[in-house]
Order: sequence, then structure tokens, then C-alpha cells
Amino acid sequence: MVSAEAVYFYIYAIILVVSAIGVVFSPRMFFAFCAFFCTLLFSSCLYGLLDAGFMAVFQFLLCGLFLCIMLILLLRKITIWTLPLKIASRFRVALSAVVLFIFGILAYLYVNFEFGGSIGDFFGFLNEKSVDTVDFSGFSFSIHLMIIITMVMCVMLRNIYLTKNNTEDTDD
Amino acid sequence: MTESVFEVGLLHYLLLALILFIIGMTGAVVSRNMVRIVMSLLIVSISIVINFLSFGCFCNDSLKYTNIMCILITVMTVLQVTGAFALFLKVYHANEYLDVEKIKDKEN
Repeated sequence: MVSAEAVYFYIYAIILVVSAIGVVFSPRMFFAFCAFFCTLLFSSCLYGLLDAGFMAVFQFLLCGLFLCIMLILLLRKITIWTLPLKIASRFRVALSAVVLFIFGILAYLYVNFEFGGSIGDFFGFLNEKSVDTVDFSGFSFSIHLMIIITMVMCVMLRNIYLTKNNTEDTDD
Repeated sequence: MTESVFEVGLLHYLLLALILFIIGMTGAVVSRNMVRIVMSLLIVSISIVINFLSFGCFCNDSLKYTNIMCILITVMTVLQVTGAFALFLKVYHANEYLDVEKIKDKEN
């Protein structure tokens, strides 16, 4: 029997992922803004599933309303509603994809190692211990350390990119 | 197999947070528009909050004050983004564009 929580989780997760992709790759700034608002709205709904109703309301008020109004004012002032999508050159996009793919594999291997799933079955770790309770100190701090290290790595990568000669940029 | 897929647990949320984190980081690295970079970083912060909340929800009494920590993260993010928007306005008035690479070229 499928629980209502699972249905809500999958609906919110799919909307969140699609709207996050929309923020990054939407062709116009207006669509990116709409996708951004959807991300904030449905992440608040997801927080509600995690027994964090107060946090959900707080984020929706602070980010969904306050921040989006700020963003609307900014976009009106600088009149870039119809600004087309500009991304870096194909080489940079490919290199970033490779770096992020390697990070994904490392994160998967880390989770797989900690939860003892099989490497052959990509979603094996989901089936085995997804409902178990785990000790916070064993996982959370190391995961967040990884997040911080990755953010620093991305900032460094960006700086390395920008200090190079960027004559190969394309305006898509 | 089917039952375990439809029993939502900690790792489902962690996987979702990981996907959002990768998308946000991709946007932060690949985009050239400053506003879009900040939006991508906000997606990263949302993924971190989902991480914290899922640990707080599924771990027994190991993180009692998750909400307070997440509120702190959200408030800090919003303050930084608000400051960034004010700076963007200044940069736009000075340069007439918000393209990080053009601005870097201009500095060089």
C-alpha cells in the first residue's frame, strides 16, 4: 500500500528538481524567476513533510515573499526580464559536468560505504536501510564537510576559469 | 522491492538534496549572469536545509534543534542575497550589464 507521504514526497521532489533545472537553464530571466519561486514554494511544502512546519512557513515568508519581491524590484530596475540565457563555453560546461559527475560518484560511494549497499545496484542502498534511524554524528558532519569542500572547490574552479583568457566564450 | 521504494526514508531525502546540490552547483559554475548565479546558490542552500531537516527528522534525538539551525541558515542566506542584490544594482549602473566574465575582462 502506497502511503500518502510517499506520494507527496515524489510529487514535491519531481517539481523541485524540474524547477531547479528551470532556474539554471531557462532561456529567459522571467521563466527563471518563476521556476525560482516554484522551488521556494515546493521546498517549503517538503519541509512540512519533515515535521518542520514552522520552518516551512518561515522560509516561505522570508524567501518566497520578501526575497522574491526584492528580486522583482531588482529585475524591474535593471530591466533584464527578457535577458537571454548566457552560459560559458562548451569546454567549460563539459569540464564542470565531469567535475560534478566525479563529485556525484564520490558522494554515492561514500553513502554506499556507510550504509553497506552493493555498488552494482545503484539504488541498492535505498532499499536496504532507507527506514532505519542512524546516528547523526556519524553522518551529518562529514557530509556537510564534503559540501563545504565542494563549494570551495567550485569557487576555486570559477576563479581559475576567469583568470584564463576567455576568448572562446559563446553567447547562446 | 516496491514497498521499500514507496517507504520514504532518510536516504530518499538525502538523494533529493544531493540532486538539488549538484544542479545548484552546476548553475553556479556554468552561468554568466550574476542574478542566476545567486539563484543557483540559493538552491544549494535549500539542499543543505533539506539535509539538516531530514537528519533532524529521522535521527532519534540526535539533533533536537534542527529548526533553529535551519532558520539561522535561511536568515544568513537571505541577508547575503539581499546584500548581493544591492551590489548588483551598483554594478549594473556602472557597467550596464551583469555578465561576470565581461566585468572581469573590463577589470583586466
